[in-house]
Amino acid sequence: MSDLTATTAADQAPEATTNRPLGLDAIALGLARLQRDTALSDPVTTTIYGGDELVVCVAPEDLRAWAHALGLPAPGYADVLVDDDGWRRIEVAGDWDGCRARAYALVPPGDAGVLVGRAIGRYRVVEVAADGAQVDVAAVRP
Amino acid sequence: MSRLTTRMRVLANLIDELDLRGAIAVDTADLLVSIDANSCTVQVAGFAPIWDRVAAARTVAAALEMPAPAIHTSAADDSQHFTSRTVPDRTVPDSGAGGWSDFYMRVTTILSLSESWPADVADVAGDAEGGES
Repeated sequence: MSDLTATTAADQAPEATTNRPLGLDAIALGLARLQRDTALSDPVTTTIYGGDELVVCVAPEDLRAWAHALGLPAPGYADVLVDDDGWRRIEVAGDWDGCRARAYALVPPGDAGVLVGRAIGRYRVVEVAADGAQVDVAAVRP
Repeated sequence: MSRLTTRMRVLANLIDELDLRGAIAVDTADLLVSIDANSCTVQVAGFAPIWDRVAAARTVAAALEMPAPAIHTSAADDSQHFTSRTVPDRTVPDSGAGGWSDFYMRVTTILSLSESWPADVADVAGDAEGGES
């Protein structure tokens, strides 16, 4: 395995093409360099599909930073999908260094408000009124 | 560099080397490499014939010094998984930062409904560790 601090052939910038898979190692090396150069936390799961697609599952609070680092669109409300069991999946996708990239976070049922808010950089502030009803006091706050 | 990233690199590097040597019978585009804090999975997928996928799974497992793959049947979907795996602190040597000794390792391919296992794989089935079902 090559030392990441040394210049190797694989260290050269990958060609920005989607016609040729970069290869597993090239993507893994790119990921290693990305984490070396940033303060990104470890993904929950890292998957490389067939040498031309990187998928990272990250904590909701880390999603925006990962999306930014990979050059993907910032996650927003439109990127929040809800499955039949109530889980939220917030996912953004795009191209990164010549390969397809996806970053997503999963939010379990019940935690949706706060964690989805963290994932998309907005907080939903809810107060409980005297009669027990939930009242939005600030639907969106940076 | 994070521990996970290091290990992902080691694994990807290993697979690329196997591909360059022609040891893997399928295109690396048919491989899925996944890693999290506790486990690592290499799945041989794609459209390659079953015997090529089996050969690739065996090659990767051997390169990782994992036990020989055996067939396991999933009770959930009744599909058959050709799986090699090990558990933490077993079998796979820890060679520094890239070691796998504390990872649950798995190499697998899955039989589709239209496929049959090659005869030599069927022979291995009798040695499987009881299967998952």
